[in-house]
Amino acid sequence: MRFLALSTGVGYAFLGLFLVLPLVFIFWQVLAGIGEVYALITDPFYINLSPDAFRNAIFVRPTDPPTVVIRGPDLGVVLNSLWVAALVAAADVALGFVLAYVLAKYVFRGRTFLGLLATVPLIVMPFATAYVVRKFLDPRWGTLNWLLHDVLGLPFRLEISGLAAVALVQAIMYLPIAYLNIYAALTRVDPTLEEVANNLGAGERRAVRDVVFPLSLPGLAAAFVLVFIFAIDDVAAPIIFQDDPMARKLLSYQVYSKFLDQLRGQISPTAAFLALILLAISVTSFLAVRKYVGLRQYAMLIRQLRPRIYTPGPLGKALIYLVAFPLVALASAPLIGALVMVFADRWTTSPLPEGVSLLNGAARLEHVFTNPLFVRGIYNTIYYGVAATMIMVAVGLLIALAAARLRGPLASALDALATMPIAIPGLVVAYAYFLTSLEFTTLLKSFDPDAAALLDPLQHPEIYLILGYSVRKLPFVVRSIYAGLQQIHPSMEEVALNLGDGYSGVVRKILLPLLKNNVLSGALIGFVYVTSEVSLSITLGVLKGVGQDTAMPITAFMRERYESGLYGVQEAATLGLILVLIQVAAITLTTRVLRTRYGFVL
Amino acid sequence: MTVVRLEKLRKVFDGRVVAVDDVDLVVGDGEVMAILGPSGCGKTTLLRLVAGLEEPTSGRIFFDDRDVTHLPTQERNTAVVPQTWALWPHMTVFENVAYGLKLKAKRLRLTKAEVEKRVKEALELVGLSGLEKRRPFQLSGGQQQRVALARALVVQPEVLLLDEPLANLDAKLRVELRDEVRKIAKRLSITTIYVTHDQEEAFAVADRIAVMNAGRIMQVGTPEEIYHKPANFFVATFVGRSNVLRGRVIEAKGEAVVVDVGFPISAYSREKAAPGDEVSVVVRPEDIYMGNGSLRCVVEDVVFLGRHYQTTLKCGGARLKAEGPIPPAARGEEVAVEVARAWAFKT
Ligand SMILES: Nc1ncnc2c1ncn2[C@@H]1O[C@H](COP(=O)(O)OP(=O)(O)O)[C@@H](O)[C@H]1O
Ligand SMILES: [Mg+2]
Repeated sequence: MRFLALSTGVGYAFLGLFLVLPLVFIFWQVLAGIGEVYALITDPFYINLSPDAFRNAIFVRPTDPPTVVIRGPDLGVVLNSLWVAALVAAADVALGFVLAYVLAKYVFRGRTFLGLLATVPLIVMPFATAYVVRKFLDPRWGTLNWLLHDVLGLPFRLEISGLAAVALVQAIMYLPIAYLNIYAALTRVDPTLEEVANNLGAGERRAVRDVVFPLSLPGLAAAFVLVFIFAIDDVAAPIIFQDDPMARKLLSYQVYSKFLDQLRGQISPTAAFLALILLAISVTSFLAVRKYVGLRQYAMLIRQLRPRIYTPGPLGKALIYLVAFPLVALASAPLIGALVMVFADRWTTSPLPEGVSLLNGAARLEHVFTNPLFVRGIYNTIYYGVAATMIMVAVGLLIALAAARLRGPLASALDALATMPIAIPGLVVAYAYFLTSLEFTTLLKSFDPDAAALLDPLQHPEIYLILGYSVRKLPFVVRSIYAGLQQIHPSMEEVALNLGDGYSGVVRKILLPLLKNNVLSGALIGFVYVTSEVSLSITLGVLKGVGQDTAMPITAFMRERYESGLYGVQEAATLGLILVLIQVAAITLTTRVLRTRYGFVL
Repeated sequence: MTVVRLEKLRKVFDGRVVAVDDVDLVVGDGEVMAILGPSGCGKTTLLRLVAGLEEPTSGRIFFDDRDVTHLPTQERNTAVVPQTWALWPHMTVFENVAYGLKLKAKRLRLTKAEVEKRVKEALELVGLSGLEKRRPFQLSGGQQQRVALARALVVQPEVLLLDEPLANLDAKLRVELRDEVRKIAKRLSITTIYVTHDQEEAFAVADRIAVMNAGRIMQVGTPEEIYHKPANFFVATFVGRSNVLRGRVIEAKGEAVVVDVGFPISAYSREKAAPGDEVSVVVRPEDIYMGNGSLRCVVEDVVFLGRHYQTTLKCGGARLKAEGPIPPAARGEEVAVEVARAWAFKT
């Protein structure tokens, strides 16, 4: 049992040092600059409840034909973040429910295809997909208005911009998260509970209302909160629309841009305070539903589930063909668009991409691989992914063991702490790491200049990137291993202990072989998440700049390319394709080893 | 009120697994019919077909003269008690029991007060008065089982369908509740199908028993018929305890045959076995008497089992287990043995 005590200690040390301490440091910054913080609360830039706020939410611009402009209300940075995230979460839960319900409960032609397509948007090509949505919405050259005006001949144009556009992009990006959580919740409801209701006289709608819905409500709440947190933390969508000042009025964008300011040496308590608000909102909402969030379903291998199935009636058919299919097509369109962009000549002033050919794609890929900077970026992504995964598996195994096999408040608190990073915005982690490491190395300089240089975030950001990645994605690895441990009866370990083996021997000889699948699938999910991570990558990742020995991973290059203008967007898409290929390779390799199909990949 | 009639009922899953294989069965009005068979033989599937929770691959289901084969479950007026009981965890005991009645209240023109009264009566019937406000997880296993039963009974179904309703209870409670279930079913004279893999339970609750194996009904009959006149080798060995001896028929006269199993033994054969046929002979341990008889056996072992002694005998090349009073010979000694009854089945 000394082993378990030791693993508890390691778990606490790791999370204490690399999660709690840096976050506490932000507090300290806020307290140090409390005066500036007070001024902030009263500034309408941050909170604006005057009737003005709604003036430009929706209006008609007198162009010819008239343009209906939807921008959403501007309630100031703090409230904007709240309403955008809440709207995105509500929309995704509603749509995700329809999608999940249709897929879980109906038999119809094309069901497998729909299910597959519904998970497509899980493939992450940051910036590139968001650009496609921007292109789609573009009031002048966009696909949407071309469809409305030129194809359908409607006498008006539609402009979705500002916060409304950010919300739309996020709603599309996070729909699969809502859908997968709700799907899992629906299929977790014991089908006999529903069958008995049917048998006693309840039709489909009645049984769903009385039995299925109430019992999957926690899952719906969890889906809402997860999407809410992902949306409020997201910085990719605001960056896409940053030309529009309104799209910048979000907490995440403000923290991000102030982070960049600080690289120029001005530490601002405002940024710290905003980060703290972001943190507080995320953590509070997560704690409210923590119990119901089954992180497992992202990481689990396909299981045979047999929910109660219905033949769809007229309403069901309408849901399938008029809601589910169009919705899924819409949600996967950005990714398809981004892929097409790799192969297109250009996509600027035309509603659809121009000059699509394989040759273009080949040329772009060649261009990427002959550019030493991009190659360095690819190398960095893989290096960070592997290093962070190794840390996550080692620490995650110890934490999962302690949480699963030790009872008492200390073990369950560790479990809770290890799940917490889900709710901690990447930007806040980046910000906290930057401040803490800067302060620490400044202190260290007078004692040990060499060590200080080694730990300097401006010279060696990769240390902080790898640590940050492994802390952020740790929950998924811990959950995966923990789920495996719950399947193993402790008596197996007891028998071995009884025969005289030590606990570390039991772990090595009995648990690890049995947990192989869980460890591997946890490692895979961790790797995929790390390689597609955005927040840390575009902040800590760029600290060293774009040189020959840059620390930037692919996602950071994608943002950098994206901002460098139109041609750059297509390069960003190409880099995104390579990112996807790396993830697909990892998934294929793991499924080969495990000899199972992989269910959901985030 | 209702006679259930199954005609060539068949259910194939995924085009491969034949769970129910051309079953013909009639359950009389107010009769309690037990479906008895090993696990995986298709009992649950059969029950679900009658409930309308599965669509049959072929065959028909009649309630009296109404063909209900394609009637959806909510219109069949059956009530299922699944093996897991499936109580709704978010509802109280009262809400659980009242649910089906509320759905039918409009059609039956029941007022709210009448619904409450009926729920009260149903709970009284199963001995659960006073627990209306509890949630299922606040009840013991036996109480949960009673709630599930009350929930099914309160809607006054034409057919009551019980799927191993006692399998999740401990042995003592099982014995207690099975008597109660039978009493209630008989009092209300509801046509009941009672699925179980436990032979004693089937004997205790049922008027008649249908023994099932691999999707087929092997025999239908009263407990006495099933026990004393097994129609085939499966029923003979699945029901009750038995010795199985392999041998060859040496003499046959109608249903009476003599088989050489290492020693000659007389047996009934319903299948008209002829001399030379390979057969399996089934002998119940309680049909072996010691003290006199023509057969000479050696006592190998004697164990005391409470209700009786079990004696292992070596007779010729064969080994027999007998159950009864203490044997008149000690271990290793010879004893005279008589086999009072045996059945021979072709193999
Ligand atoms: N929904 C299903 N899909 C496929 N096979 C099934 C399904 N339900 C039952 N089976 C199969 O049908 C057979 C009979 O099962 P079941 O009726 O549950 O048996 P029992 O209740 O007697 O144990 C088994 O082989 C089982 O695996
Ligand atoms: Mg069964």
